Amino acid sequence: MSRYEADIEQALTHIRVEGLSKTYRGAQGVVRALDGIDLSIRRGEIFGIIGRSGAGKSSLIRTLNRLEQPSAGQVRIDGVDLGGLDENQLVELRRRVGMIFQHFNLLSAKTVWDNVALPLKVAGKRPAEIERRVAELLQLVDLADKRDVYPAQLSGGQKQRVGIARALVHEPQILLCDEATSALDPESTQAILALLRDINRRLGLTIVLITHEMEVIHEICQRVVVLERGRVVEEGPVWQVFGDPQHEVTRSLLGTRQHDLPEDLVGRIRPQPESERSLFLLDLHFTGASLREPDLLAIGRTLGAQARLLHGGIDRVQGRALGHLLVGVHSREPQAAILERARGLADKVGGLGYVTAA
Amino acid sequence: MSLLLDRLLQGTLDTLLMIGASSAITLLLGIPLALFLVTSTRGGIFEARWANGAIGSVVNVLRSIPFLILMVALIPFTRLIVGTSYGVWAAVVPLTVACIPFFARIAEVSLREVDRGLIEAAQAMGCRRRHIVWHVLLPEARPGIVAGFTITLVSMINASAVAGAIGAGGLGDLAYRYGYQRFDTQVMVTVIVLLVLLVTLIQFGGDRLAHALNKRK
Ligand SMILES: Nc1ncnc2c1ncn2[C@@H]1O[C@H](COP(=O)(O)OP(=O)(O)OP(=O)(O)O)[C@@H](O)[C@H]1O
Ligand SMILES: [Mg+2]
Repeated sequence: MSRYEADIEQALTHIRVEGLSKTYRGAQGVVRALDGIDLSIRRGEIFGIIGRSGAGKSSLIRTLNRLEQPSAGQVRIDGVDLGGLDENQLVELRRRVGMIFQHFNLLSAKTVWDNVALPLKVAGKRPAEIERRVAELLQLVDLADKRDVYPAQLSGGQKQRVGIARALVHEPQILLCDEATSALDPESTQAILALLRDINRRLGLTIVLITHEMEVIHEICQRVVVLERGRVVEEGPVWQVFGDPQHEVTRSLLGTRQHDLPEDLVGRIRPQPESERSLFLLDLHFTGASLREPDLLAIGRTLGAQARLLHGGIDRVQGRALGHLLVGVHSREPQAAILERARGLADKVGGLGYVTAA
Repeated sequence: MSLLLDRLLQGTLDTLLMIGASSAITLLLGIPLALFLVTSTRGGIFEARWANGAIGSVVNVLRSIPFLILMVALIPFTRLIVGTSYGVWAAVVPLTVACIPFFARIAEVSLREVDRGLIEAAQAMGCRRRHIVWHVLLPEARPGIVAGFTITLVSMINASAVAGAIGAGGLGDLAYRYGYQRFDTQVMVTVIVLLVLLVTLIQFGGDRLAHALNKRK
């Protein structure tokens, strides 16, 4: 990387994590929750963290506002190392980094208004300013009419909107979300995601979010990192990681989104054609790398009139078509010839073998 | 008859005074004690495990001594503070010494039940530790603390009657002198009715208040 590129990278980076490790000493001995994590999160992006349960996602996100003290390594926000902050500076930092939680964590003894006002109150802001700011935020999350209600009387989606208002009340530059939609029904999840996308665009907020719902990543994230046993196993733009997952963990997390081979075909695949009527199975994999879209006419022309679309699906992520199409080709040509011809149809083209129509 | 009425009135006032003064002091000292016990434990926001262990033991010892014995044992201390070991004010000393640890342990349970997530959320929004005590721990535990204080008041009335019997005045004194020493059933029954009334009133008021303060429903 040239000096110039390094400078640009530096300017784009909002949060930099270097060699981060976290070890817990608990009753069951020592747990290495984070094991040498390196990451750069860019200003203004929505950054996703996925991984199996216990992979270290929460531990990682909690080091970003130092709710968790790293055992080794560094977290830098705007170039400032969080490890070197004293208590006052830490309080200041946390006012610039909002956080929302899976279970909302609203104070049950305070009204919606008081919940949102609390961060300003403890920061010693003037009442007039608090009044103005809280009203503004409740407007933003569309809860102005609930200001005097207690959290117990709100739905899950409304509670999370209060959580978002509370997290944004200090006009932070970063918002951390730990499974913020996991306790919500699909409709409320959509509403919260729309809100997050909206504030990301309007306020230029950097959002870091953990989720176990791949839909969420798919819908609003630009880049994603996959954690496994406290390490980064895969990282990149969402279209790339989703379109062509490299690591086994990523594949299994995406499981439901991948268009796996249907059962009825799997059992019947043979390496060689059994009869005249055997179909050659061709996997057309669109990884998003080339921005190409499945061209039906080209597929038909290239593979012949008897090509059958057997299975598959295409998702659009960040403007790219991703997915697999499984095409059955009726041809007596050798495999290699078919593959050679089909090469231009998708980003990756593979032969799976032959099936004989039942 | 009117003399007896006078005495009943005086006894009731004495009891109320005794309970009022003792409960005010118990509340004032018990809550900080409970906060200390909760926040100084392992992983607490003011972690101080050694002090926590020491003060916790003192609390346990005080709680395990029966009130009558505690009262007698405290006589020199009571004299030192109020100048006498006789009368309403002298009873306030052992009553508070007995009730503070009792109340603090009950309040401690309510404070401990405050969800850790709330404390974390408060830290994440830039609250200092004193803000967490004031804006999170106390308000969230308030219904439980009120219910605990009601229990404390009721057992304090109980103890005040015992104190009355050994010279503190109040309704207990009256019941002891007329009921036990003179077999005057009428006075005995009147005192019992008054005590039941007092306890019922306190329990009712406490329940209502705890209910009104509980916003978690
Ligand atoms: N306070 C703690 N004390 C001891 N061990 C902990 C603590 N917090 C987390 N761990 C352990 O660290 C590992 C990572 O936990 P973490 O909560 O970061 O996982 P996660 O990826 O967020 O999982 P999930 O998806 O279930 O929320 C786990 O093995 C967990 O048991
Ligand atoms: Mg987690």
